[in-house]
Amino acid sequence: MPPIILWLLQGFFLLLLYIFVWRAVRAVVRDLRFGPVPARPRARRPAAEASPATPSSNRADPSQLVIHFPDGRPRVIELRGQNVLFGRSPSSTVRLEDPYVSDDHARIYEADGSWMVADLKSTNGTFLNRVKVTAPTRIAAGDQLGIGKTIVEVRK
Amino acid sequence: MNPSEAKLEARRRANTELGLLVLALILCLAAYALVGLAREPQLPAGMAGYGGVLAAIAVGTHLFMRRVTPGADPLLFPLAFVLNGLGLVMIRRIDYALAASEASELAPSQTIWTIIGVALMIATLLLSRDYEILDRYRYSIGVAAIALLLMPLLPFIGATINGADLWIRFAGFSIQPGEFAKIGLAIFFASYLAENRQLLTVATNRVGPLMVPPARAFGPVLAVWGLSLAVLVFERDLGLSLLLFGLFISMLYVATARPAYVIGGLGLFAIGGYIAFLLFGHVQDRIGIWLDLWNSDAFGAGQLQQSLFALGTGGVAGVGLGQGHPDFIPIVSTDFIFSAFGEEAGLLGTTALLLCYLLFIGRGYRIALRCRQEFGQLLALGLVTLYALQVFIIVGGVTRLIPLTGLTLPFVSYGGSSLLANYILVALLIRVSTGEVGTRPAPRRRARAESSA
Repeated sequence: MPPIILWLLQGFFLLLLYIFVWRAVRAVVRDLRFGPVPARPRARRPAAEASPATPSSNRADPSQLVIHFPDGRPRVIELRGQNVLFGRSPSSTVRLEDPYVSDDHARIYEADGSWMVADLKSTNGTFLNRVKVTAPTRIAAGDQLGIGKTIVEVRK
Repeated sequence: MNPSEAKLEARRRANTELGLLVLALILCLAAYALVGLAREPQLPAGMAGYGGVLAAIAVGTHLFMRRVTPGADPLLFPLAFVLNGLGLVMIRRIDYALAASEASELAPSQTIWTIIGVALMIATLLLSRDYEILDRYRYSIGVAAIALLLMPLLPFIGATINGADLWIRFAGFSIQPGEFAKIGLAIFFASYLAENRQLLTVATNRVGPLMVPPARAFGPVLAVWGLSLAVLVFERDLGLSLLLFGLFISMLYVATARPAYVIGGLGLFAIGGYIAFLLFGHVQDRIGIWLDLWNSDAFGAGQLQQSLFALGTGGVAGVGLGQGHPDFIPIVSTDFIFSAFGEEAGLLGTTALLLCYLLFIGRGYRIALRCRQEFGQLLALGLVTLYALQVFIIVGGVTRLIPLTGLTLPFVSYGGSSLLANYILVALLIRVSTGEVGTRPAPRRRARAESSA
């Protein structure tokens, strides 16, 4: 075999090797972009009703939480005096099997007659109407809480 | 996701897998042909057999997986297949090189091991339809793994090869039970940690200024630490003890999210490593070679020097498959096969090889992240960490990034036990990944975790 032909064949081999790698990378990227994403519940409220920017004092007091899990049926929790603890630990009121949720993630509690949400130093944060909760914040009917892949809707 | 969407997604994944497998097959055949052409001006004699076996494996496994594991990860098997195929080419190539000096016939037996390995993968996929069965038999699996680790120490069946007591001889075969033990241990750790995660996360006891979890939860950590040291001491196997220790620390960290375990583990490792350095001559040799390779005349310096010469000779594009000198490197078919490939395929070839490993590892971690059961998550994580650590330790060793410890390069190196164990590992990862698409029932584990809490 003349060396030049072997060189060409070697180049062909390396080219094939990289075509394989490129195809594999493409499959990964496609999977990341369009892959089977757990369907999110469409729990958006009409914009007028939510009005997250102006928390006025006459907003309706909440009495119910509707929890939309990333899989499975939504669950309704009545707010009657007790605290609601979200997290992965078995002692949580609402246990979320989700790697993006911390053991003790967030708490919803009543203080001075109004309902508050507090983030319990979770790794990935708690979101009230898509804004990260940094200090205990008052919640009202129409608000939407994000905890990991779960969405909690606050209702009258 | 509704059922028809899931079915569509499963079909799309299967087609991706088929495309990659066809490409991998062409790639391996081209490599095989090139090795033959470089040696004699015609296609090598075993080409039809080699191509036939690989094609049968690819087609058979693909059709099987379409039926039995719809929606499985489409990259794991093609990546394992391409690494295995290239490994077979390199082993055949080493046979040619060594034919002059010694009668080396490794390729046929490695081909048989490949067939057995794929069969074992299929069997594992069939038997673990519900992989949570592994969770139920965790203690049996843990005890079996420890028994496997200790088997080479038994008289009569234990055997010493290349200075390490890692082997047992059984019915004419040499088996390295440690290769299987590490998978058993990964299963046991995953199961133990999934159940005791809470216990290990809370710090209740005070020891001096430190808050530590209850001693009961710490027992297994110390037991495993002792076990990996026992392997190190009695079997002179640095690689496996490093692998097991790294596996346990990473799984513990992921399960509990407490960095203290990593810091503590690294501290324990440093102490253990230092004691091993003081006690054992071969550890001192390895470190000495690593620090001062070119002036070292310790046993084992020559192989690492040859390995670096081979990689340097390869340059960017390699000297060409079949045109290098793998016969210059000792134990080239197992530990140093990466260097032989580097000489003939160059930096470009080794980079592509490492990219294949990286893709495999990335897919594995993604499977772990997407899994909804804690056991499945930790299982996938443990298996893929095992694989990643092994690639890092051996490639780092032969390129002198870290002190050399002998391990096989997964799927590429010659060795039946390693190949079989790695195919079991792939099967388990694929099994965990099938939970992604389609509708699995809600986790059963929740009820048990609550009752034990």
